[in-house]
Amino acid sequence: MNAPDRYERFVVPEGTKKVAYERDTKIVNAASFTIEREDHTIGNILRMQLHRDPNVLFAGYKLPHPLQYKIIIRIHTASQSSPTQAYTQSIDDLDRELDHLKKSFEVFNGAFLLF
Amino acid sequence: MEGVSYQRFPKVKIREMKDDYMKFELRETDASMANALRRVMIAEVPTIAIDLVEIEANSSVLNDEFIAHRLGLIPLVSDDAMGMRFSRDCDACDGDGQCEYCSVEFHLNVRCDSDQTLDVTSNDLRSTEPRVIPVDVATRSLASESGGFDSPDQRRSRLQQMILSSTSHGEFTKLRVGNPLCKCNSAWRKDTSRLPKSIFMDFLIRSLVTFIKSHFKWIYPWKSSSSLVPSGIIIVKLRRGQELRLRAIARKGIGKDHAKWSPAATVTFMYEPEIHINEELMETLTLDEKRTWIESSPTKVFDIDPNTYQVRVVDPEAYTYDEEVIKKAEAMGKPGLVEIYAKEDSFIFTVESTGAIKSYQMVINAIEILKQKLDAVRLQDTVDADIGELTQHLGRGL
Repeated sequence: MNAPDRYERFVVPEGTKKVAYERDTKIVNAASFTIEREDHTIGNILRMQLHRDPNVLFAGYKLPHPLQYKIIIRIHTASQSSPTQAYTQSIDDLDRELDHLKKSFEVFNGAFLLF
Repeated sequence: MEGVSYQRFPKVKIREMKDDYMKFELRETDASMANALRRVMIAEVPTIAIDLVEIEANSSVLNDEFIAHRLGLIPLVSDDAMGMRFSRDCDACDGDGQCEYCSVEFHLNVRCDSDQTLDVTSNDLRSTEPRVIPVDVATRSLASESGGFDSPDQRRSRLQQMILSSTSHGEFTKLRVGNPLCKCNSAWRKDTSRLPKSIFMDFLIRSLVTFIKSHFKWIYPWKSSSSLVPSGIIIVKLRRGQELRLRAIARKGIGKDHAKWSPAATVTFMYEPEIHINEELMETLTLDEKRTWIESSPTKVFDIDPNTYQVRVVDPEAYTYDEEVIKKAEAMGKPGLVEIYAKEDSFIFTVESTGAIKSYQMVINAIEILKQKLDAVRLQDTVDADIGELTQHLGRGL
């Protein structure tokens, strides 16, 4: 009866931003990104990619509550970088990794069909 | 201040590929990527499934909701799903989700006019879009096209039907299933004298059919289980006078919304195991000890070389990380007999599809969807973020 609609899980409501950036008030180069309507799929790959960046001192994500369809990614970087820079960089890297992955699949599939 | 790239270059090796099954190796990436791919394949690769059903007439034994639910679960060929629109973001129709860009219409119109129970199946669904039809119908039409005239399996099923219709079997099922409950009860009681005979006949027919099945399999060994079920997915059964008429709208959707939209039957991945046997310590074991140690593994990972009597690894991937062999070695007083690691950067994927999308396409679509998701989480208003950074720098300067 009062169950939320199923689409609530993946449709960003009107008037809300997909990604909200909030800088930490106490620590420099620390910030959290609130991503609406995403879950472990995005949270975990982003976190692991951020860990590959040596300028990132801390990177973590949390799903605050299973019925709040959002994740919070917290990033703390060294002074030569910034959370937004690390965040954008890791998305770029993942994007290129997936491009590469897709190409490898297509190359292999071509070879697979030949033999 | 442009950042350096920390990108990885994963390697892929496809081991096995069929329309509905695929096995591949994914190397030089980490578990988060493997798991993201798995999660996307299960819950976020779109397919097409029946979503809205308008029932015009239903005098069958199943209620409307029950039938609507069963229709939704029939897998439909979804090769076009990636290019289709979600009804909720379709501008062509004003949100009613019934236009050619975001939906496919199906019609079903069946009425039983014979004494035989009539199966309403996925075959009876009439699609308005020839590219979107039930998966089993598509595979069957493909099989019969390539087969030319009657395939042995079709001949077999025809023979089965002939046998079934020429005996009292139909009557027997009608008594049990077809009649309304109250009537059935009285008829049932009246006919109890006939019951043992019917069961016997039923048994006789079943054994005859099994015999024919096995007989034909022996003659045509290359044709196997694929078309043992020739009739399609059963939606409901009708008796004389019952009918089912409906209009169904199929839409694009994702597994997160409802599992009927998931193209995945199963998607799993495992770490590739690396098994090192301590040969020196192994040689201190007698042949019998080696045998009992090998037998302690629930899966067949090791065996004994018949020539040298040495223990060797035959199938590392059969290892299920149960650690039974390690415990056994310790119990035998030989700790460190074998060392097993999980290679943390290589994965073996098994992908099974429902048939809605071919397994290979499912993986490609998953990669594409994951890319789209990543693009969606990019910082949109860089201005906002830059101001944040600027004030931060200013704050530090002061």
